[in-house]
Amino acid sequence: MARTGRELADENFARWQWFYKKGMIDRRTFVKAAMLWAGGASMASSLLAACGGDDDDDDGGGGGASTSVSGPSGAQPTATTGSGPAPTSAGAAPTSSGGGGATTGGTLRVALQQSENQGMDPHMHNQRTGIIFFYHTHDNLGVRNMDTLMIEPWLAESWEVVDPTTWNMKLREGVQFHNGDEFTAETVKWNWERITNPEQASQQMGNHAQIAGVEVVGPYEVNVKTKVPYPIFTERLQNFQMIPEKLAVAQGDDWLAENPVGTGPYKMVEWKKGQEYVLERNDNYWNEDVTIAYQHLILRTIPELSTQLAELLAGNLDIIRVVPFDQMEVVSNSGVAMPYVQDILRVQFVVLDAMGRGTPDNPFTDVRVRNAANHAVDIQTYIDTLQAGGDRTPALVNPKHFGFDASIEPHEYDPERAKALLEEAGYGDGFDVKWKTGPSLMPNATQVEQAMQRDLAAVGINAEFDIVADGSVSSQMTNEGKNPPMASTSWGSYSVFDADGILWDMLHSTSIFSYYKNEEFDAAIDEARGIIEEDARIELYSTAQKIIREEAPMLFMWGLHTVWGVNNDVDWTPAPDEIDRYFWASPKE
Amino acid sequence: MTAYIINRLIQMVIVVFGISVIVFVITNMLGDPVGVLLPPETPYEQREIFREQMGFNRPLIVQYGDFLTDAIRGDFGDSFRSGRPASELVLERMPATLTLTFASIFLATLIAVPMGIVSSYKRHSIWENLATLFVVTGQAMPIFWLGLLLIIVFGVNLKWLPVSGYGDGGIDRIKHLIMPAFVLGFFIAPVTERLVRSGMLEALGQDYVRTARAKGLAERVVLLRHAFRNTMIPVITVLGLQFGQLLGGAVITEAVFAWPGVGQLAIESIRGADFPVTQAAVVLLAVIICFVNLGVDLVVGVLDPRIRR
Amino acid sequence: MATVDTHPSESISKTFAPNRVRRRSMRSVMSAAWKLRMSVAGGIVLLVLSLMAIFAPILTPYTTEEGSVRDRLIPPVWQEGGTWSHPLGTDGIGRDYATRLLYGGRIALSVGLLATLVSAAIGITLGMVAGYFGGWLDSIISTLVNIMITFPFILLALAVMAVLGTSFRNVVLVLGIGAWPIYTRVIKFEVERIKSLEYMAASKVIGVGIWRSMWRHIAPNLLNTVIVIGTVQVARLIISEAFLSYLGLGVPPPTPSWGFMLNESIPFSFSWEDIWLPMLPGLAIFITTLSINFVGDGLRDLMDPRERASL
Repeated sequence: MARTGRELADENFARWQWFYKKGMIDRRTFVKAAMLWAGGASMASSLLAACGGDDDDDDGGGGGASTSVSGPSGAQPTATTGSGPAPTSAGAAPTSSGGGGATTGGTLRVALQQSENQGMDPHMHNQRTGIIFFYHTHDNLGVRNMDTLMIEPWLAESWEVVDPTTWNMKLREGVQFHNGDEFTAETVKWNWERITNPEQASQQMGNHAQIAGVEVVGPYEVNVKTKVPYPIFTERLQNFQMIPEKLAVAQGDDWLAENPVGTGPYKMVEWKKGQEYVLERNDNYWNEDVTIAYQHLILRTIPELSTQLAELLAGNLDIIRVVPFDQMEVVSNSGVAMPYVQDILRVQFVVLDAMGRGTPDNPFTDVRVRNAANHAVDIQTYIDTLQAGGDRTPALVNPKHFGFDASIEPHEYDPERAKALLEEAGYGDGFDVKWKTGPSLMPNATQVEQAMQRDLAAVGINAEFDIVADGSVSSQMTNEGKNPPMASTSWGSYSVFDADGILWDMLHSTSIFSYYKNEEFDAAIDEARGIIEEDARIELYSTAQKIIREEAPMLFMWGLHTVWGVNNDVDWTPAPDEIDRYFWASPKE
Repeated sequence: MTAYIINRLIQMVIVVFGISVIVFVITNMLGDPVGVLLPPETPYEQREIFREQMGFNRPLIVQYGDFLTDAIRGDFGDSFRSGRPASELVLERMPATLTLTFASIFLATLIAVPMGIVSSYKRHSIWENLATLFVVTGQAMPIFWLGLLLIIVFGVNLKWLPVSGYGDGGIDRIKHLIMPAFVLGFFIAPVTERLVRSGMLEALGQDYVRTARAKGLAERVVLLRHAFRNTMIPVITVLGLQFGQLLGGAVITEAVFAWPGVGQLAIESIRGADFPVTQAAVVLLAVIICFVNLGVDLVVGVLDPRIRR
Repeated sequence: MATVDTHPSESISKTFAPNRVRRRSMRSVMSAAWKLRMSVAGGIVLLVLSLMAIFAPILTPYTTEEGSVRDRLIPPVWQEGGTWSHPLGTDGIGRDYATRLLYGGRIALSVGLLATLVSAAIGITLGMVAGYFGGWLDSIISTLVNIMITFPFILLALAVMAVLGTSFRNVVLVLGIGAWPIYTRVIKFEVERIKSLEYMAASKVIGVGIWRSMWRHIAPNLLNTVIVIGTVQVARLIISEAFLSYLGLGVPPPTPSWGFMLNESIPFSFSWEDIWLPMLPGLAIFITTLSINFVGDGLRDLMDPRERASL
């Protein structure tokens, strides 16, 4: 089921080749793509020649190929109903070169953008950088296998569904926290109770809303009761870190906010406030199959992306999380580092006020206008020219989500049809509309949005940007329902690879984020999140997606492909759930 | 003299007070603290309860009253993001910003003062035009770009200097300080140069200078001892006035060079709608600026006997 | 009578309207001519730039928006791959760069001029009120000036934009609000100085309105002062717009402001082939600022009667 990196690279390269032959992309873009997928500039030029294109000059000093490692785009991970397999190193690390990397010294240096994060308490945050940090200092009950994209036990040893609302979990024995405390069933119970306690006010409380209670059955065994049958139970396990309960109770929350103590592969040894976090390898790590190659891991705060890029090129950093799209070539030519493209779960789109929630009677309350907007923009061309690739999301769902319906066709680029639809809806002369946008996780966002704006204007939809430069992302998104008729958003589904992870929060009429109301749709996804049989769920989600495709409550864009930069001396690749695991890295032989 | 100081202190208090009002109002306009503190999916009813519990629904004046009484004691509340006390966050970053600021004042003075003196003396020469060129380049070159270009040349290509960061004290810290201090210094050097020049020109035209010349003193003595000393007064004054501008430039410089100062913190807090930190940063910086200006006025008062009353 | 300034702040006003007494000499005349030449050169450049900005629609067949993403990043004509149909290349979504630079000139000059007008209007009014009436009115205004100087401009900009939204008009507003204190300071001292002159008392005796006579005495000096301050300010304001763009608060896309174009293209500084993208708007800003400064210098020398005498 899983395709290798090589197969994926070949497939992607073939697609770019086709685009080039069809004249849909220019030579320069093709060479860039070819270097990514096909292995080097010289190979790209010979391929170009084979395509019958002009002879290309060697771009000079091209680096090696950067292959993308990702889960298969068509695979649909299913919830594990039986006991999971024992964790293997394949689950921990992707296909990496060189067996048995040295576990001696060595420091891995990674860049972060923000300095003040939300504290070191893994239950009290809701940001991506937090998740990444805590994956290193703490462990989760389950983790995602990067090849199959299924959740496998980690701190738990196995689990099974005993009855529709009870999961029995057997826990791993002999696991110690950094301070020596034992990980036991009591730990698990305490952690769950803490995170679901309203007084604790954890930002992640909602993720565990379906947990009714935890019962200790044995020293390393618990029964977890859910309020309703909860098929994505295991998905939640991969973002729920364990804290040592005795220490936490003894020291209190304020201490926890500054002292991350977990069971993880690294422990924090120094925190230079505002500058960097210094982590050191946990030599007592319980999982002996995991080789933690670097003794030290330094997370440096560098707010400017250009500065991060400069550090990477100067050889002072090993991994950066964002390489600007047009600078990929600079990186691959540098001889110091390579860009790595990774397709991720995150979906980018523009929310249209279909409900009239923020602006009653705005043009987008008419379904024809929404479809017109979708036909007006040349999504595929943007993907091919302004992005390092992207996965079409015809009904908002990413091909990576379980439940993705591959039979649904995305909106075609058809400006004539768009104009006809607008005419039908009474907007033959076009209309003006405000489009809220701001800091974005999408690569090359300003250019993409300006291109979209231009295409929309060509059919008469004159969108004026309303730029939000400040404010936290979550309050931007919610904005208490006051968003203008167009608002750019991206959604990572909390790394839940299930259609529910995006459909419910974005489109269910009772969701605080939603500007869409459709009872049939609501019913379908409500039912789907309450049952466990996969086939039934797939069908329900198919129905739901067909509704969304027809109703077009969003301006659909794509599942993002983002670009990391990795030093040539480091062997590491990013993950599709956007959670970087730096402990997979090892020095290249 | 004492009356003067007291007067200035009172003025300072008023200014800081005014600023605290403005920043309080502004941060509350920038966003809703409830939206920042609670997870996005919190339903409305819970938000309202939370709002009431935290007192965010009281009239702004009342909230400001609380803010003021706490702020006077140095308590600006806890950061919305990390939960640590806002004043602690700001104070632990202060040394970095002050280091950068004073280093850049030092560099700017080093460049601008000689340049100003020379161009005032050699009027209408190539030097003056060069100075004008320098002045304009300094004004026309945005910090964020100049900073990156220097980083690329000296940090990436030549590798003579570190690209960014704070360094580990001593020589390493100085190496990390060079580029950001230069960039920030370049930001204020032009106006300083202009002021030195015109101050010198004015001084050179004064009676006592003509007297000194008439007495037959060497030109250089005239220049340096008499004219220059009197020029330093407006220069020091302006350096003080520029301190505010300098801090504004420091914000961007710190971001570009990953220098862990208050400016970087301020930008992060504004972007993250972290009001307590923003408020703490602005008020504490204002206090510092006011103190600097007070210090400047005192120094000038000492230097210039005409002011002392 | 050359007054000896005692207050440090007055030295600032002297900066912009210095009283210089120079000896005449052959050399000084020639160098004065040289200086004049630079100003004239600056003036010509500025004129050309303004004309180019005004007549942009005639000079280029393109609009600032048209283009296709497939034609993105075509290099300028002097680099390999360049073409005369886009002599200065195309930007990231295929728009003609020369066109955007030309129209960007419109934005730069109009932002500079309008914001200067706004700040001068506010500043002069407040300065005159403070200088003329004195007393507590003066104290309030001076305190306001001190606050404005101390208050971080960035925060102010963010606040205005957050409440009012980003737009050309609001950029002008923010820049105008940020820049008025210096006018107030200077004008206040001018007014105070004039107020104390003997002929003011004489006017009072004669019965001419104080206000009117003050206005008449101030006005010529006012223009001089405003022009001098203004030319310095305009250049600064153009740069400030670039700073606002950096924070995401400048004139919003797709309007082609030089500041926005510079910011968008800064990452291209890493490669020699691409560096024209930030260089061209950067150069545009630089040349404009340089010429404004030379013109300003020349104007100041012209305005100052002592200087004029020695020209």
